[in-house]
Amino acid sequence: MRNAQQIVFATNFSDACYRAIPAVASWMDTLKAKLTILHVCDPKKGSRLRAETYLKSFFAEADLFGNCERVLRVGDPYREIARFASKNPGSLLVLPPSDRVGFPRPFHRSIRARLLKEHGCPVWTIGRTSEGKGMNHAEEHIACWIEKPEDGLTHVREAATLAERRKAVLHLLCTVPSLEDMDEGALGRSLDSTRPLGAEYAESWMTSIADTLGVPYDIHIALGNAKRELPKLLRQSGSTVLLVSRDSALQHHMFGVKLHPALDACDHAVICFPPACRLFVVTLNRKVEAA
Amino acid sequence: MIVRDHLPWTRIWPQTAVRILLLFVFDFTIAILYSTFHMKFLALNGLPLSAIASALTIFLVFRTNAAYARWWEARQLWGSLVNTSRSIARQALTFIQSDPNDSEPDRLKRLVVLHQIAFVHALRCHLRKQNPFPEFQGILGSEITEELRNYKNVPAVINLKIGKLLEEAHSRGLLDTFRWTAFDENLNVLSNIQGACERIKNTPIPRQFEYFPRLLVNIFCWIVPFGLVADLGLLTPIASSLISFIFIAVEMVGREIETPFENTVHDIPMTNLSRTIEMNLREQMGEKLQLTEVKPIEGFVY
Repeated sequence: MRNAQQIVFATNFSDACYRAIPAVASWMDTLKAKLTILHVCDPKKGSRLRAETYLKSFFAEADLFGNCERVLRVGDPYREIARFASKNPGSLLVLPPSDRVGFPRPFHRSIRARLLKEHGCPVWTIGRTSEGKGMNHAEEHIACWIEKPEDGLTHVREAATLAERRKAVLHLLCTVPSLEDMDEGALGRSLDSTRPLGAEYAESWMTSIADTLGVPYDIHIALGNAKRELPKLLRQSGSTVLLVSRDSALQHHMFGVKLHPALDACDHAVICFPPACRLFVVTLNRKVEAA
Repeated sequence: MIVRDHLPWTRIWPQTAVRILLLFVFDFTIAILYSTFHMKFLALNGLPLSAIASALTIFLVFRTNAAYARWWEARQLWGSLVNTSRSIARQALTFIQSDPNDSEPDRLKRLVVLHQIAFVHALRCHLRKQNPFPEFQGILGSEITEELRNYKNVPAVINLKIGKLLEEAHSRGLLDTFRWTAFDENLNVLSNIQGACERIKNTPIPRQFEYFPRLLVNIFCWIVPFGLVADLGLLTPIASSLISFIFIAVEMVGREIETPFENTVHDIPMTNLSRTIEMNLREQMGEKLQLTEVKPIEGFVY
């Protein structure tokens, strides 16, 4: 019997939440996990009573699930979600993107990116381009983006475990900067990182990692800008879920952090793993012990 | 489904913003070139433009009507599902003969009604391509749910299972042939509703209806400023963007409502309807209601 895990779905009742939650419910069913639908009511924006009514009606299907609860908190959304996540360690936090407003928002501080940066739980999210499209729930191919050795291998191991559990093929993706994208800045950054700068080196590095995983794998390498090439690699692999490390998932800018544009441009579910975080690996080990 | 009176701009704007802003910049450029740099050749006669606009309007009306017809047919099918579900529950509860010394008839009655509730949820999930099994746990229990996991077309299998339950009732002498026949007609109605919903889901509007209005609206929006600039001068971008917005919005409305089973705000409110059916059927069985009605959130009901 599998271990029960917790999936915490933070919702603000946006369209993105409605699009994401069926896929999350499907994950909940596969992992035999508990689903918690969390809404944080900001007292500056609406009343608690209204929030309660909305929360009861949001994804009403979950009322028939045996293991689903709805939690309402009042306060600052970022703080309350963080508090809830830290009280439930080992849970998978689901954070859909905020709705588009049609204007550039340079001063926007993404709650999703802040939570991913500052908290130690894995975050499941979707890219902006999946807006308006249904999520595919059949994960027969699982992708893992490996950018640089400094990110660690936590997400790779988690991806391998997930692929093993779902009898899926693991696709290891890597983007290597092309000569056109090379500038002084890129060369300067390479001094701090052992990131492969050539396709051949990347392939041998990835093969050495993949050989230790013990699952069927496929390696995909693209030359060029990650934002442009990663969605292409994902399409090529046929994967519907992508696992990445926290460091690769975030990008720092002048006003804070945001999700990497390459992930925002993806039409896939993305699970971001902080270093030394375990989700699927722990569950499988316990399952093996129980057997 | 949208049930509020006013559509918030925050919903319309993100979908049209890029096109409208590009057109505004283009219109502004034309106005400047005409008025400041005196490029008089940029002005077109407004008459052919009016004729094109009229033709385009007819095309758009056809397309929007075709999209609305699909949406309305889907809504009618779900209305019919509400009625048929209530009829099946009533028939199960009154046609199958009770026996004070035997609990079997009551078990069969209850199973038929629960399968009917499951059918409605299964059809909704089948159309939205969602996983229905977590919900079945709370309706049919683990054993039947696990059995149903082996099938792809789950609503059709549930329909078959209702048929088998009736056959069992007939073979035990709890349901006579006339009543069984009447019951079976309603099961046929369920099959027809499912088939009609699948037809709408799997057959898109002819692509010509989708492609040409979009292409023609784009072409029209780009040539509008040439027809207006001679009369309006520097005010051209404002008038031209407004005209473009009207055409883009009409074209967008048609596109949004043509797919009524996609889990968007433009869907038939299937979650709401299936909850209503479940509450009604459980009430008919005499159960105390624990479920609550699905209410609109910010004017949108799913």
